[in-house]
Amino acid sequence: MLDRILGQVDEEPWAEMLHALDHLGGLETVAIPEAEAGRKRIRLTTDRGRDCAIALPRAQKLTDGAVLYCRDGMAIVARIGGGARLRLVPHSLGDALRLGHWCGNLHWKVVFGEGWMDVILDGPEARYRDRLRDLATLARFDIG
Amino acid sequence: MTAARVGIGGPVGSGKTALIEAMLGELARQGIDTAVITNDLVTDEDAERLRRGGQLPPDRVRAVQAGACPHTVIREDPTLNMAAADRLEADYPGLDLILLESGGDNLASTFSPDLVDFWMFVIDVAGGDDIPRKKGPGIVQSNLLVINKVDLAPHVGVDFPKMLAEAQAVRGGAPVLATVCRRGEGVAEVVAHLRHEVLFK
Repeated sequence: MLDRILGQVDEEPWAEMLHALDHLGGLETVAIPEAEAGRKRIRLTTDRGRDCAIALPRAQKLTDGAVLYCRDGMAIVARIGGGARLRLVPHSLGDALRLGHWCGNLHWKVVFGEGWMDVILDGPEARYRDRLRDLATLARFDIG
Repeated sequence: MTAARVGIGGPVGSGKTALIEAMLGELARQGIDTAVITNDLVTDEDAERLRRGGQLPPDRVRAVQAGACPHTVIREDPTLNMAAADRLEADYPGLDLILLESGGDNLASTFSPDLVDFWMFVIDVAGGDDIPRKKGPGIVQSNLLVINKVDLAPHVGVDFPKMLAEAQAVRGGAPVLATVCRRGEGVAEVVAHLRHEVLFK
């Protein structure tokens, strides 16, 4: 049972300690899909097949690089999946408004950037592309 | 440790409250300290039903009135439910589980991960065997899909094994359990699933 976040992998004293552990083969990671990162309780398996039950206090939030366990020469670090996104780039302000309105109606989770919007995928990419095809006649935008 | 928060969504009449009623007995037998938050449109109907059932002290059943589409208070702005869950945890330290029942909604209904740690979606055979094929977000994204009232399948012209296979196919292998909540059938399996996936006890 991993019941709290101990620190972040890129902060001291963890950075140096975990770097050393990694060289000794004592560092395991648990991959968490970005769409699931808001959960406080989740059951997953580490990259080495270890069963992990994560149960965090409500005030703590799973972040990429969160140190969940470190004892007896072994540590477990959370890695929030970064690959499952679809970048949408509108051609104009009007297209951006239509695109944002459309994605909001579909309740998609998005991250905004300068001139682009990333949709965080919670399922197969094809499911999202199917819906975007419907929008193609209403707004001009690029995918990718 | 904080209590696990588990959402229960699904269409009107699929058996969400009946599932909770059936689960409460099983949870009590297994020593899981439980409370419930119900969501109704503008009444406390489901909360009153659970209180009348007497399986939990009345104060352990709290009601939230959505006042609008039920998904608005479990997804877009779940603060009313989050506050109710926080109050329950403050009032009952040591609580293992809070069940949050959504008001009856459509197949697009989903729970915010800010509100729950795990959520299940309840459909029933009498709603039609085409429901899984429609691939609504509730069907494909829920952590557990429950198909209720499977005893009614022959009476409503439903080929249940085919419906179950289609549900498993659209969910890509994610779990699907069959229940007859009014008779308690399949409910122990639902509780066992919760224990493994989110209660960890």
